[in-house]
Amino acid sequence: MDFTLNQDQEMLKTSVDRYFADCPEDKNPAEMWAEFAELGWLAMPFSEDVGGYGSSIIESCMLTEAMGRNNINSPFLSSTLLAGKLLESAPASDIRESLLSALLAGEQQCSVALFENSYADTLENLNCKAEKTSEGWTLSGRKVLVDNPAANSIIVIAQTGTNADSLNAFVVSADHTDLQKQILALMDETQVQNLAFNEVKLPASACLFPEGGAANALQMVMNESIIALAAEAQGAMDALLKTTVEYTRGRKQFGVAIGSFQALQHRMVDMFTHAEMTRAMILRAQCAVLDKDANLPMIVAALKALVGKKSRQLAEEAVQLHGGMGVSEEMPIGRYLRRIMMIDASFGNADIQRRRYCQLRYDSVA
Amino acid sequence: MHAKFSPEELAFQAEVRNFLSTHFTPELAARIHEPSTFKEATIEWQKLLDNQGWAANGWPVEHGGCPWTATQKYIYSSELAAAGAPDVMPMGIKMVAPVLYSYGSDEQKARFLPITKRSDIWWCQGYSEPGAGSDLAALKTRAVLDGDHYVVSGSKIWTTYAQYADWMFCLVKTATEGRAQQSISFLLIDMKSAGISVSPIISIDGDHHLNEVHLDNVRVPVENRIGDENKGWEYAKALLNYERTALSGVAYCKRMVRDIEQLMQGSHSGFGLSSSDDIKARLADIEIDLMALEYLELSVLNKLDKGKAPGMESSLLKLVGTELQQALQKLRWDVTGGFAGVTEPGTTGIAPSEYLTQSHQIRREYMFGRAATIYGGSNEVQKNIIAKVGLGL
Repeated sequence: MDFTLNQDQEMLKTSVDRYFADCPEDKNPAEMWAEFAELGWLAMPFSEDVGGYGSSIIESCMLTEAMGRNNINSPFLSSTLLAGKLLESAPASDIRESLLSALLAGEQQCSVALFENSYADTLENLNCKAEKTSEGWTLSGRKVLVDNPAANSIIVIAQTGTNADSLNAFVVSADHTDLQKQILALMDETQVQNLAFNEVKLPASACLFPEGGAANALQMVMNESIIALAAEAQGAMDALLKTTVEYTRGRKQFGVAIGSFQALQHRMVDMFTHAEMTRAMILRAQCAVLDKDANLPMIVAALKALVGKKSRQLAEEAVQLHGGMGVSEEMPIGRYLRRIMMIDASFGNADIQRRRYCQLRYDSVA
Repeated sequence: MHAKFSPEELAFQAEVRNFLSTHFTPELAARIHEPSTFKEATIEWQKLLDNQGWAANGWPVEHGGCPWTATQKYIYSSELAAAGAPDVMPMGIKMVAPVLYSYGSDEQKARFLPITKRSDIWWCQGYSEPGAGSDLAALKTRAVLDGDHYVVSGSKIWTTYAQYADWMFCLVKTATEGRAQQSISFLLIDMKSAGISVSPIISIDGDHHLNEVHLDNVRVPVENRIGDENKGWEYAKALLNYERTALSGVAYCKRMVRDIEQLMQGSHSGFGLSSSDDIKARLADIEIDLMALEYLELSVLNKLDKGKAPGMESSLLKLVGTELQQALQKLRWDVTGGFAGVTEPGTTGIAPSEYLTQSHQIRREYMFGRAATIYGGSNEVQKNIIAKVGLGL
C-alpha cells in the first residue's frame, strides 16, 4: 500500500494546477483544446501503441479536478476519457486508428451516445437497434443527452440482438445526412444533443467490436469516467469550501466576522468533512482501478452515490453561508452548484447508484 | 500508487490470522465478555499479545514496539476486529505510555514501561472532573507541594475502570495564577494511596464501567510527576491526538456490518426479521461512508509513516468514526425487530432464550455507544478544533 504520487505525477499536477488557475473562464473552447493537445494531455491517457503516454486514472483525475476547481467546461471527459478510451479498447481497424490519431492530435472530438430516456438508463435496458444488412448496418432508435454537439463523430451504443449482452458500438459521422438532431442547452452552460436514427445506413466498418463485445469495454471506460467526474466534483467542492471560509472571515455582522459564530463554524466543518470523505473515496476507487480490483463496479457505484450526496450538500451549504450573496449571480457559487447538480445526474444520480450498490452488495444476502 | 498487499504483507496477515485462531479462543472471548471475569481475562489476553511481541506495537522499537508500517498496523487491527478480538485496553499502553516515553525521565521509563507493556498494572485516566468536561483546562483538583510530596485533593469523574486500576495518570492544578493551560501538571498516582476512594457510576447500559475518584489529601511523591511542573497540559494535548486516531473504530464498524448481515440472513434463527429494502438502503449509506472513512484513515496512517504527527486529522477521524459506530449500533438494534430489548427471557421456555446473550450485547453496545460522541473530547469540541486548525476560523 502506497498512496504517494511519483515524481512525474507531482510535476504534472503542478503544471495542470497552474494552467487552470490562470485559465480565464470565458476562454475560447477551440483555443483551449489546441493547448490541451500541445501540452500532450489529449494523448496522455492512451497506451504507447496508439501514440499515447500510458498515464493512469491518477493523471486523468488531476485534470478533471483542476477543471472542477476552476469551473471550466471541457469535452476532455466525454471525448478523451469516454469516447477515446472506448475506441482504444476496440480491436484494431482502420476507423479506430484514424479516429484515435485525430483525437490524440486534437484535430477532432468524439462523443458516446448511450442514454435513451435519461441518465437513469442502465446498459441492460438500451433499445437502440443495429441490424446487419448486406451492405453494412442499419441503425434505428433514439439517444438523449449526448455530450458535446461539437463532436465530429458519435459512437452509438446499440443492440445487435435480443439479449442484453449483445451490445456493440457504431461510429457515426456527426454530419451524416440521415441523422436528426436536437441541441439542448443545460444549466451548467454545456450543451448536449438528442439524436434520432430512422434506419440510418452505416458501412460495415462502422462497427467497432466483435459480436456483443462492447459491454465489458463500455463498463470499464464508464467506471473510469465516473471516477474522473467525481474528481471534477471534488475540485468544485474544494473551491466552494475555500470561498465560503474566506467569505465568512470577511463578512461582518453584529460587529464581528460571521465566521466567528460556532453555529456557522460547525456547518463549515461538515462541509470540510464532506470534501475529505469524497477525496478518500476517490483514492479508494483509483486504487481499485490500478490494482484491477474485481469489486470495481461496486466501489464506483459507492463513489458516485457518495459524491452526489456530499457535493450537493456542500454546495447548498455554500449558498446558505453566503447569505444573500449566495443567491446572487454575482458570485460564482451558483455556477458551481449547477455544475455539481449535473454531475450528480450524469451516469445516474446518488439514489440510482445506491440501488446499484445494494444489488451488487446484498443480492446474495437473503 | 496502489492499495495492494505485498507478499511480505500477505505473509504478515497470515501470521496474525494464525495467531488469533490459535490464541483467541471462544472460551477466552466469553470470559472477556462476562463482567465478572472481564478483568482477569483481559489481562490474560494482553499477556498473550505481549508474549507475541504485539501488545505495545505502537511504541518505539527501543521500548519494545514493533517496526510496523502503516499497512501492517492496518492489517493488524483489521484482523483483530475480524476475529472479534479486543485490542489492548488503551489507558496504559496507548495513552499513558506515549507520555512516558516522550516526556518521562529514564527512571520513570524503567519503572513503568515494562510493567505497563506486560499488563502487570492496570491504568486509569484522571482527566475529567465534575466541573471540567469539554472545558478540561478548568479542572480544579489541586496539588500543593509539601516537601518532596504533592498533596492532592479534588474529584475525577467518568474514570473508566477505576475500580480495577492500580495507577491513575492525572492532570492536576499546580499553580493558582496565570493561564489555566500553564498551571497544570501531569502526575502518576498509586490508587492504593491513602485518601483515594472510588465510587461507581452505573451507565445507561446497566453496567459499571465508569467511576468517580475522590482524592482527599493524597500524598504523591514529586518523582511521580512527568516532565516539568505546569507543563502537563502540553503533554496531555500531544497525546490526545493519538487517542483520537484510535477512536475512529473502522475495524469495529466492519465487524458490526458483518453482524448485521448475519442478522439479516437469519442464520441466527429468531432474528433475521428485517432484510427489507429500507434496511439495505440504511446499511448501504453507512457502508459507503465507511468505505470512505477507511481510506481517510489509511491516508492519515500513510502520513504518520512518513514521520508526521497526527493533528487535526485525528479529530476528523474521531468525528466521522463515532457517528458511523452509532449509526451501526442503532441499525443492529433495529434489525432484531425489538428482540434486543429483551432483558429477561422468562422461564417457560417458549421464548428463544438462547438469543439473550446476543440481545444483551446489542442493547448494551447501543446504549453505551452513545458515549462515543462524548468521550475523548465531545464531537462538538472536535468540530471547534477542526474549525480552528483545519479551516483557520
